[in-house]
Amino acid sequence: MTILTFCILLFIVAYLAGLLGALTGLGGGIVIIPVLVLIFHVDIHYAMGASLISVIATSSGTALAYLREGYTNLRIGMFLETGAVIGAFFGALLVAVLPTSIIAIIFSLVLIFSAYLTWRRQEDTEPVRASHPLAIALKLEGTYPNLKGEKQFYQVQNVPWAWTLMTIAGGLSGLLGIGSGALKVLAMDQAMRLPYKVATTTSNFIIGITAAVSAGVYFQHGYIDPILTAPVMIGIIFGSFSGAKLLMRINVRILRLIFTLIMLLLAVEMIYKGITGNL
Amino acid sequence: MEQIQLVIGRALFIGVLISLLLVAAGLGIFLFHHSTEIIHFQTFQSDRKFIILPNIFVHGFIFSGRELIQLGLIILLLIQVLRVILTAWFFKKIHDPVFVWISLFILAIMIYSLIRL
Repeated sequence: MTILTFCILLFIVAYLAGLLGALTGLGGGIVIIPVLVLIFHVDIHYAMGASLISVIATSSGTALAYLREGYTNLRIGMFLETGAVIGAFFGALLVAVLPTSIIAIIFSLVLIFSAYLTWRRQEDTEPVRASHPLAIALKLEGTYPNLKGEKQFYQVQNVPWAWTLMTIAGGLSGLLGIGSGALKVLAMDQAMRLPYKVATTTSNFIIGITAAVSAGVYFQHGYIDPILTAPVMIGIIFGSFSGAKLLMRINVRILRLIFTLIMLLLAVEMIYKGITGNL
Repeated sequence: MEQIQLVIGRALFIGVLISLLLVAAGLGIFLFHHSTEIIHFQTFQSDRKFIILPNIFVHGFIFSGRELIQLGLIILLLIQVLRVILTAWFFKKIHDPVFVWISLFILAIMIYSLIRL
């Protein structure tokens, strides 16, 4: 097909991916890669590069809104980010070394795991315990505006474990060209026991930094093709914004179920192709 | 304190906007010239044309669509560097030296990943 046709198609698909990513909470990156690889037959490296750029863009574009709301905890974010950037740096370097089929299989497993995590979201039922000593030392505790508009204080737990999870999330981000949002939220929500909105907004803030470190390595290796990346980036940005707006209006539970199932199907197909060496 | 956080947020937003405009313009220019060619993305060719910043300006002031997109992407990355710098500044303003150092550490890794050959 011609470049023009290809770019128009890419934009539309990327828009839908951004939409799906926002609606399912998986993120546009993890949605667009299987689509690019399985349907458009794009080499996975280029797909990962385009995805990573899109992750940076959406993270940056939405930061203002979340900072305004007052949920983002910069201390927790930057502290955890020290691990994430280390992971991202080495994860990105691994891409040059690992065979494509292995990357595809890891990707699919992470996709399935992320979908599981997104569905498992639950309010923590454990009684509130005191913060981890490191959290107190680093002043990680904070407040967030609760439903009554007051400032609700929260504790921070399991700091070392959360940092380790974050480093792994960063590694996966670099290795797969995704944001690893699901894993980061896991670290903050389940390990640190942060209020959910604090976890998601803080995660969103630091995702851009992690992805930028990976992107630096990707640029060095030539994984980022401008012509592929451009329509994907533009499409995902607009799609994510539309998805975020849509989330506020319609009851998305059934939609999310359908889309998550679609993503799982794609994940299975990627594993299959990875194992049979068709990538 | 919240003011500085908003500065960070606004800088990011404007930065993405600029990057988006450059990328869109670059894509437009590229498509204007190449729309009827056939595309090949199946095989990965290590296209290392885009390595260091100075490369972009080698071709002179008139950017090809491709280079304009690359410029937009670089700016997107630089905005992230700016994000970390501003965050470090934020921590300096609230007198938290530990986190200034944490931010600078992240900054160091970021810059290293961008310029490493």
